[in-house]
Amino acid sequence: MNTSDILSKHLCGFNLSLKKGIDEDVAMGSIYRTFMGTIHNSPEFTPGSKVFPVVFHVLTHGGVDIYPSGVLDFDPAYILRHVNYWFEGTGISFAPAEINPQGQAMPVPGLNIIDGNNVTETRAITGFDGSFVHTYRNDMVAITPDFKADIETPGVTLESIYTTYRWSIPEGERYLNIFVVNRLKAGPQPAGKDSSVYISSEHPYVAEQLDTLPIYNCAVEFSGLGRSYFDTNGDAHVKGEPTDVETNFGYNYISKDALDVDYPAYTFKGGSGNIEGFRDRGRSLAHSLGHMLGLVHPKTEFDAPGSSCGSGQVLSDTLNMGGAFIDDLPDTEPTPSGESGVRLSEFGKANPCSADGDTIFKSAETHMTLSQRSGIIDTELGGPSIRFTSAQAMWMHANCELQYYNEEAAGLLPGVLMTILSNSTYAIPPTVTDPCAPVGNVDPRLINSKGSVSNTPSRTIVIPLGDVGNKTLSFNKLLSSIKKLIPTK
Amino acid sequence: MALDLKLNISTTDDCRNIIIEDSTGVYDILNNPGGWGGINIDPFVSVEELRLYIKAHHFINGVQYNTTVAISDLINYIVFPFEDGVEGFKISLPAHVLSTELANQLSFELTEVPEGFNSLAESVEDGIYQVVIQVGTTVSTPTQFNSICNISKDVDRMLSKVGLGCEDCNESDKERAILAKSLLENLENIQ
Repeated sequence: MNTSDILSKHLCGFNLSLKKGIDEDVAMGSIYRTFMGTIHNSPEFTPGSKVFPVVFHVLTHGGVDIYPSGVLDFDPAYILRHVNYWFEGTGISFAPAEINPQGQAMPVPGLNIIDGNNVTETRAITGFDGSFVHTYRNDMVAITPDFKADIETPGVTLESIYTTYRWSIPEGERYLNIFVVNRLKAGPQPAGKDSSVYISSEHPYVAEQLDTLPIYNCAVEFSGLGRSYFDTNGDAHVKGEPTDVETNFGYNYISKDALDVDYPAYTFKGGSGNIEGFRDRGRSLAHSLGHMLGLVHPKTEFDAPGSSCGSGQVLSDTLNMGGAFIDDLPDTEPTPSGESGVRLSEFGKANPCSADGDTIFKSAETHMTLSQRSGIIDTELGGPSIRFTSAQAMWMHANCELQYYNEEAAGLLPGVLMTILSNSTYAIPPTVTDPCAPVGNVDPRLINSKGSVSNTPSRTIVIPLGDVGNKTLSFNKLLSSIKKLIPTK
Repeated sequence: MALDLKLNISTTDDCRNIIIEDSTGVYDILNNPGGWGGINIDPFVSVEELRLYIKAHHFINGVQYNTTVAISDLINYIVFPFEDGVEGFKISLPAHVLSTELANQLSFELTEVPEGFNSLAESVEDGIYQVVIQVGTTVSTPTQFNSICNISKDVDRMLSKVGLGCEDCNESDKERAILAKSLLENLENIQ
């Protein structure tokens, strides 16, 4: 079995982006790790809380309805409530962007709807003459066009979608871009079934080293978010909160369009049996965002699916060579099938990769292990894959401190995560509650000659008090240094 | 253009008050199109229409907080150089008022004030502040202010002890004082 066959059976397409990073000769991996280690292991590293603006680019007309109740049911704020629940304790959270790149208030914060009927890509196919038009509606989304040397993957490539629709702000990135699509494809497999990939995301270092920030996004299938609006009986799921058993993520796979033409996305991964989505309540998105904040899979082993720990590894030598992509965090450990989805039947078994003799269930409790689609309901609510470890949380914070030397600027420039945080107030203006300002209809008798109002209940006004970036950190470090020089009184 | 408020921010010599002074000036179509009056808001507004917002970028026990407060009852802290109008206003906000407001906001956001934060500070805490003034519906551009009053006093005291007249000072103390002065200049220049 070759590498591409193995990776196409992984649930997360992140390893593909790492592979691409190696193919493109991403250099200086060891420097990245040294720099990161310096920050991460410094006893003085005390990161503050962080809020990332998020925009969901939702592709419609591909066999998925986001208005199943008759009104818009897809709700970014609801989804991010779940994601933030899984990020609790890390000091990192996510909020729907309120202002678009043009400076306009978004009708639904965090939501950018893209008409999938317009999403196409024309490209050649290996072994054939001419070009072919791939459509989102019929061919869905290809993780990469040439995953296998001999068989290309039908579908509009992620790179094409990213390049065309991502919200990029040159020199001033301000959003984490999440693309929600009908299906992700990583190429046909020998048995005729298609790939298992349902999420994909990029590592910030790889994106920056490739000098292609437009690829710095994540993509997730609707089904990977969580439960659909309707179950297989046609009954609506309850819209529960993160600790509730049942959820409803506001989408529905449909089999045919208004002209009775089939949507391939409906049957692509198993037909009606697989249209309810995974019961993971936003955890696959938490996993993807972990990647976007610099985490890799635990102890990245790149195991062949089903292999035992330490055997059947693929890519490890190549990927470890640069040193960029190793998770050597002290509080994670790999699990067999960690890349392709730990199965419920294995939860109680001893984990052969564990130095402490833990069960697979115990070892798989970090979000960066893939177990999100498994589990009976009660088991799933209690784990595994329900938290980020302390070292993982600090690693994500440390990635936000990265700066890179730029020859043209002859100095350090902030990395993409630091840039997004610095500019986040353009996407989510801070609000201050003014207790003296009016709300709703105002009694005209309270309006003075200048048109203003006093002694009325509160409202929220937007005050442009933004972040000052890393100035505070620099200020505090200098202040501490000076204090150390001053003799004790 | 609309009213373009310009602010000068400092602390009093004893570090006990933060001073916010309006330096916008009067409207002039050529030389000061963002000034008070003319086609912009006239300065003859009630003090109740002025609001002050301060965002403190500060550390408590090594943890960074970015806390925004709205200062109420400005009338208690503001003076006006002219009889009829707010142009040129000068706000002198006591340190304890600011620290109390910050404590209230922190307790609102975090459910309790972090241990180690002095909610009745006698001097303005050293740190980075952003200040915004609102007049009616007009909001000023945030003005950054690096407050270094306390640490400056400490460094001055250090320098005075190792000054030219000090014969029994050792070289190490002098070097430390000079280094502290140099770092202080860097602190002033963080923009």
